[in-house]
Amino acid sequence: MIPGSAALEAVELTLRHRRRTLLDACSLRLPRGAVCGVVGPNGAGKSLLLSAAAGLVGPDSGRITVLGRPAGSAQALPAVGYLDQRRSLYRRMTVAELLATGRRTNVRWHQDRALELLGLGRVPLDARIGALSGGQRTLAALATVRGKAPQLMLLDEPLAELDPLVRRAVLGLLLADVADHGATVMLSTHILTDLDEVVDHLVLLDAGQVRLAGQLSELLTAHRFVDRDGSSVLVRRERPDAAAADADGPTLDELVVSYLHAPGPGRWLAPGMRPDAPHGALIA
Amino acid sequence: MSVDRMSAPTLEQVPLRVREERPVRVGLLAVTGEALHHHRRLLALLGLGLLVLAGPVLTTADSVASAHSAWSAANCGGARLADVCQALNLDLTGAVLSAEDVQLALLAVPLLVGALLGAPLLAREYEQGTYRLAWTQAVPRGRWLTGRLLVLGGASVLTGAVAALLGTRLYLAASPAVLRESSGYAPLPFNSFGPVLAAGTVLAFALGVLCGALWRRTLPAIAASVAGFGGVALLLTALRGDLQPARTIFPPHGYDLRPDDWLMADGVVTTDGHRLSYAQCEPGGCPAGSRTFEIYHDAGQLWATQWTAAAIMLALAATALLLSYRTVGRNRL
Amino acid sequence: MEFRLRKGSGVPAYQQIVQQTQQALRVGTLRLGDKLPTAREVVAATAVNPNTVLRAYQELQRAGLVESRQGLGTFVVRTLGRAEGAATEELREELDAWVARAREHGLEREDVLALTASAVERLFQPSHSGNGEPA
Repeated sequence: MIPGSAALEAVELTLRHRRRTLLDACSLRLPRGAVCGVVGPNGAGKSLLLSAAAGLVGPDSGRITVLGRPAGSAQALPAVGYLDQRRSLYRRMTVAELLATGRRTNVRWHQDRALELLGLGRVPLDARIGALSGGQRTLAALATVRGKAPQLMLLDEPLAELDPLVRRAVLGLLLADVADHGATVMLSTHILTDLDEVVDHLVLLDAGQVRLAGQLSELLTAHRFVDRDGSSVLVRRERPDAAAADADGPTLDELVVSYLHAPGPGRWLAPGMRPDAPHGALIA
Repeated sequence: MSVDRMSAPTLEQVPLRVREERPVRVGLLAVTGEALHHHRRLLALLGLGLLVLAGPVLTTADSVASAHSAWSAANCGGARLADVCQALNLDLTGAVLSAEDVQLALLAVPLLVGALLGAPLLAREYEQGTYRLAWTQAVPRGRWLTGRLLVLGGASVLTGAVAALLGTRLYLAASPAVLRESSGYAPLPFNSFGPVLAAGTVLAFALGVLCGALWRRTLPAIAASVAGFGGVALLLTALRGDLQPARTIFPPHGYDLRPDDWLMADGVVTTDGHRLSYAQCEPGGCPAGSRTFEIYHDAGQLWATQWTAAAIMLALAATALLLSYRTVGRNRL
Repeated sequence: MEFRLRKGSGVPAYQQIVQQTQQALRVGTLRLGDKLPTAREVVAATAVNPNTVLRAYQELQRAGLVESRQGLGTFVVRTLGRAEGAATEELREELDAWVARAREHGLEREDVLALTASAVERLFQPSHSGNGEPA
């Protein structure tokens, strides 16, 4: 990969389908080693952003690169792992065959890492994929992602369908990869509590637009509640004041909800997540 | 509020040991091997199907050949009307009729290959969403498609070749033809042997792949590819008389063609050079002094005609595959 | 040692790691020269962001309790234990016995914690004794 390049960079990424704009000029830059939560209401474009990063859907305009290479290119593919929302696997394969396929179709393959993940849910290797439960299927799909030891993991709702104990163990393994190999994780969810103490970056999508993106601490210190006409209003400070961010700072929940309910499209891309491109720094 | 937010942990704190990517890729050989492994059951089924097909074709060919040689040996040509000849004639007709059933089965080979190997190749991936898995491994989708085409396309070529050989054996068993129905130019035999059947199988496969790329659902893709191939085959069958130049002869004693030749038109040439069909001759008869003419395809031209039709089908197949690559490469939603 | 982090408890994870390390140093589960679990181990076991662990360890290092040695890990360089040896051992056994009794009497985990916390609160007020560590 290109050293020093961002894990993911989107510049004015736009995707349309039958005259509907599903991703609308999304710009963001995710540094390597980040654990980034992608949140937003249903239909906000979370899955689409991830599959665009995986190279499965191409932009109608703008561009998206991963690890410094165009998304989906031959150079990018070996280093990117993608878990799709539907866990599309060959149903008639056994789990062992699925892993064997992963080994044959990747440059590197770490069977131990894949097996470690499967072990969390006691997924039998000789079971057919079609016979697995939803959670087990998720683990099988995640095993193929982790087996290729990607530098960038794009995980669409990785925790859905997993029971709470397995959920924590799975997150633990994925985060251990971040600690071990400097991997970058981008995971979507619509359950904010999933992200608690897990992510260090956040992207809030709404109606195909990036409403909020930045390092978590950056986002939280940049906002505070003030009293205005007797009601509490969230305001953004262009110069974050860490010392003042105690009592009147928002929680993650409050921040997200405030942006989603803001009258008029409030948008903010924290400096740390702005692409380098000249027209990338869009601040509404 | 939590202290968590007061001093932001920066990413630089994480000891990044970024492993730089080596310029390694999964080679075409490995991709093809994977495709072979992936479709091993389908390929085994295909082999079994060919074996099942070969049995009746070869036994029918044998019975046609023996009926044919018995008829030839009895020298029943001309006007001999012995009982022996009637019986042999009956035998030969029966054998040729049963050969037609087998030829119909051979015609189904391209359709089956298109429906079972071609159409699902991409359509099933799209339909079941597994393209998301297949195309996010280290293999770029173009190379992935090449691997699949090498395996399933190769299987189609082999299947087509075997079917064509079987069909040719059947055709040659009744050659030189004594009955017009077993002439290689007749619509059914023409499509059931030789280059036409082999190339047709490849074309049906390629059309299946393209339809799968376009429709993204297996059943519609099968229907479209069957319709598409059927259309091309019917068109080429209709046009097969125009693929090679026809010959014109002026036989001194009227009709002079063998059953293997294909008569396109006949009639008379009047003394002033006009050509009239027999129907155009007045009820009183053709004008005095006119000579008969026959426009026909010689039996010897059959293979050239076959190859020409096959070349057209192969060109169409190549186009369909190129379009498939383009469709797959365009990562539309 | 193992960290038991509770998400959504209101206490940030990094603070929980700091507190639990201090506690372990106090009761002697961690001794001088002991190695703290690696960030990877903590992350894998608790599913918190790696930065959180690193930040907690840095905090502990700033407090002079641990020291990070390049490539080897993070080691305890100072303990918080007051009384070493037999006295501590005896006290712990008594406490174990007391907690066991409390459980037999049907007290929940939270009840026990509340009881001990209130006792600590009462008895370790600055006027009572001046040796309470800042929390």
